[in-house]
Amino acid sequence: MSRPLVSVSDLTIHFRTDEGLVTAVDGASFDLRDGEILGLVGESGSGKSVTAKSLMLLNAGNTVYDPKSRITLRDDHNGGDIDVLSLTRERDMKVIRGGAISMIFQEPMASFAPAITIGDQMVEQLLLHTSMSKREASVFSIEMLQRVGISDAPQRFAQYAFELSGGMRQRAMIAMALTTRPKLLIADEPTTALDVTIQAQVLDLMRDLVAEFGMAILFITHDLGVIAQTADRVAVMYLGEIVETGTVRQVIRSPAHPYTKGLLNALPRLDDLTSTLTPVAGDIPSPLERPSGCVFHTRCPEIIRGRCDVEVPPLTSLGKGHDVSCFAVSASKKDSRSETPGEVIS
Amino acid sequence: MAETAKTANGGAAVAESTEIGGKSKEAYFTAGQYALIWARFKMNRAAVTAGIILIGLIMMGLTAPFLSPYDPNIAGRDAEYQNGAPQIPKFWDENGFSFRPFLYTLERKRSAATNFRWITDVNKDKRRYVEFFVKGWRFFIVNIDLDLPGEDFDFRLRALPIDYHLFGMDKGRIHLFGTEAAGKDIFSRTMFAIWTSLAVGTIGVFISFVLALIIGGISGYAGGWLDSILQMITDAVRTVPAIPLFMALAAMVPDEWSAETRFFFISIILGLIGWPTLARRIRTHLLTERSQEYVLAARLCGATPGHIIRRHLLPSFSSYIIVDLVISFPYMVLSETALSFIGLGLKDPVNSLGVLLQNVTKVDVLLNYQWYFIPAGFFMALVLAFVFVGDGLRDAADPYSGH
Amino acid sequence: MLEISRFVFMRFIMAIITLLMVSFIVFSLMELVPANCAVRYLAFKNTQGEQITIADIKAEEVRMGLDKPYVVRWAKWVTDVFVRGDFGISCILRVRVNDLLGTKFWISLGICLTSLLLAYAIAIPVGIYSATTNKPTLNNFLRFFSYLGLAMPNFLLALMIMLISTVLFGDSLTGLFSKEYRDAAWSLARFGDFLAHAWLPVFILGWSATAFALQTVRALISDEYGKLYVTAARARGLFGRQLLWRYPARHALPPIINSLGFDLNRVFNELPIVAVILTLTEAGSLLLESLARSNDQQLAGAIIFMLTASIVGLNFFTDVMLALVDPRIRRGVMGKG
Repeated sequence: MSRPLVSVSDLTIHFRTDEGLVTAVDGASFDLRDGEILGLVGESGSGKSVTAKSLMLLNAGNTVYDPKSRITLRDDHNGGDIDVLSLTRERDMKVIRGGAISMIFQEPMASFAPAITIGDQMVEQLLLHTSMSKREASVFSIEMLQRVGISDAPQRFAQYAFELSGGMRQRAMIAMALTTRPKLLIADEPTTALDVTIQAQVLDLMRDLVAEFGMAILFITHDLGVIAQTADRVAVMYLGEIVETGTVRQVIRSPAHPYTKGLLNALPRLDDLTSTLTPVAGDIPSPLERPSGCVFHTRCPEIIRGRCDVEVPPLTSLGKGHDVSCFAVSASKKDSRSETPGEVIS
Repeated sequence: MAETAKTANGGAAVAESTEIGGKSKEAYFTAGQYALIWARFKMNRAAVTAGIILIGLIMMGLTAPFLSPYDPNIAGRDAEYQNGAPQIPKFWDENGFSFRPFLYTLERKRSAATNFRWITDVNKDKRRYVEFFVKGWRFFIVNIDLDLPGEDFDFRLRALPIDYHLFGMDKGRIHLFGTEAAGKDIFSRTMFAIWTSLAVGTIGVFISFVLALIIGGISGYAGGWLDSILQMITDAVRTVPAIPLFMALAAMVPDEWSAETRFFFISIILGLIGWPTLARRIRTHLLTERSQEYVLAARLCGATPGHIIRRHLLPSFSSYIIVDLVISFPYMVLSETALSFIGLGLKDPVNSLGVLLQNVTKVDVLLNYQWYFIPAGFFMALVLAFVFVGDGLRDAADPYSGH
Repeated sequence: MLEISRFVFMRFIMAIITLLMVSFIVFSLMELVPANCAVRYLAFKNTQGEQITIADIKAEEVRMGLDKPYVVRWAKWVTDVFVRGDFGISCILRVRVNDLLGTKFWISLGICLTSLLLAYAIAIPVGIYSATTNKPTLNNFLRFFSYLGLAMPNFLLALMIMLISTVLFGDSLTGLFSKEYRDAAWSLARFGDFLAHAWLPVFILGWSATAFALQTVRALISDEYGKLYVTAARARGLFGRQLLWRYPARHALPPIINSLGFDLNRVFNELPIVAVILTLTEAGSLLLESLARSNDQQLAGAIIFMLTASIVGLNFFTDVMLALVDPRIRRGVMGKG
């Protein structure tokens, strides 16, 4: 129980493209514990999907994992750990794909094969991962559909994806992902395509299932509001690097990294409808032109010239599991702690 | 103090981000549609190579009269060198080196040694030199010969003569690709054949394009029942296999028609058969585009349908149309060649690649005169070049492909 | 069940309408050709030495019913064809068209269909395989082959084969039957002889059909492979052949099957030329000889109509097959939200 379920250390991912090697993720490290909901937040292009997919080795064929990267999955069946990045044959990847780790996607319509029934796909997965017979698998799948709140489960079991409504499809997708009792559920923007009422239902459902199954969730989204409601911990990513991690309370109530602050400031405020929106200044750079030093320095309002554009800030702990990689924060921390005024590191 | 530093740096941070690579970025974002397509096309090496070859072949066709040393028809035949093998000029032999390329003289001799039979002997000592910019046979660019019923209405107009040709010989003749059974120079015939095939293809593509634009345009823009009816007609026409239909039609054409009339007839028929595919594509483009939101936005701004069509719809798929045109070209050329080959298309004296290949199936040709196949190589190069360029254009024009 | 019957019925009606339109086009073309049947027949007689006058032509027209209005004649032709399968009498030879065509049409159709089936039998597995593996050499080879198949039209290929076989073997692989069997009645031996000769046109026709089909299959499979549901299936642990066949292949195949009719159209376009080169017509064993040389519009019209009818028939067949396999139609959800 004390060992984390998944441990990611120094994950660095490149893509081989016509323009050369493009870095998508650089030195990302985080842990996932049992029963914990970790939110991975960032704008598009931040590398959060790529990071999550690498846990299941689902990235495209031109992916290059840097040798210093390490992804470790705790193996409860045999004791010890599974080194995920060392798996090369697809038949060995069953444990990370649908076994101990399952994934649900942003677009539930697109994640079901159009011409195969829901039931067939669910049973297929069970037959692959468990020793159930076809009949047992069918019964179990129908139960699962009922568990996620789908009425008329036996009928839905024999239907195709296009015959279900949007919310039901999402639930069915969750049901399918859970049939194998995974320890970790990766949810890649599961609520982005849903309207708000269904979004709330789905989030409630996910929280219940976590409590019931004791599984962890890696929740990927760009929506800070959803994270605030659902997650326990959150990691903020920018251009392939994790810039801040902590509990939801820490990061949202007292954000340390300028980017996190910028994201929170950019949220429209319901209590002040006349104030202007303040987005984060500038544009996310192209991955072909990664900035030197701190990746955020090109848009950072707290930039320390000569430092932030040259050196990569290390992960510093602000205490109680709240980590941030930023020179400006460390500087102001030192600044607030030092007694001598004027001793500003710039 | 930290605060003022923040704002100063904040301002600086914003300015800096637009400065980075400013000029080239601006050029990229403001480039016109065609400039972008051209830039992407250039990156495709195969397509660019094909494009160069294609332009080369087209130039060959356009300057055929200038390139051909001899009249490709009966008037220019070499009676002394029938079914002759290709003659490649040399620069060097036992007798020495020469800057000017030369050929040997063929002499017909007979003597007691040959039992008094005429034989053709190669005389290596008598050289004939290749000359450039030679005055040779006369070709008229404008050559109209209308044979109307009744003698009074016959009309003949010949103008713009070309007398000079790229190369020729000081004595005798040179046949780079050999000659065929009547002594006609295959090189000249090939050059003119490229021109004819291109011309027929162009007219055919043009006709099918106009028809397709009208029918597909109405179908796509109007929608509803008009579209359904037009679509059924288009599908019905499309289902009929073209070549058998054409064979039937061509066989009915009276033999009295002149070569030029046949030429136009063939082109028109090819155009009439080719429009359904193009019409369907135009209709599909129009149907998808016209329900896009930007069209609705334009209408809500008060734009007239004409304006919408011109400035919004047309540019959105003009690149696709160009690609479709380029891709349908080789099919036209293929169809015409196939038909001429079986004798139902163009006939002598009009040269097309199909006509040139007509005699190739005879056994003695296959066994002895393999140079008859040289035009086939040109033909394949032409078709392949079109296909590669068309594919390259299509990849370059599609904003969602590849990069 | 009801839904499927309705669908099949609708498609059938559409096919009939298309055939009617085609018959209209064909019949109009037959009419537009200069010199109608009567004139041709009598011109033919003229070359045989008989003296023909205008009055004779007129009388012949009346006799053949050519003086009746266009629509009436069309209606008669259409009813004869649709109801009795009777294409009338040929203009010049005055023989029943059906007798003239005989088995020739079925032989041609057989050759074309076989080459198509062969093409797909090769293209589907190879296309699927090449779309999913990343070996660059295989990809380049296949791409080259596709382009070659596209640019080297069948008749050139046939020519090359003739050239090579004549130069190297001194033998030409021509004709559909050996001398002994040419005019014999059908028997097992004749069929065997036919097969021994027919493989060459089937191969040549299948050549470009294979190249086309290969390109299409590869493109479709690549498209499907990139879709989210395939990634989702991989995320569930599926891999290898099971993944391939249940997911991208199964969903990419319908459009390929759909294009069979269009492919038949293309093969029909290529058959005449190949037939000329391989002199498949020397024994009059293919109907296209009749088409081109006979100058007879009744015959020509019948042939064109039969060819088009085969394509329409094939389209109808593939439509129905696909509908049976497509769950959206099976559930009768056409039109429902």
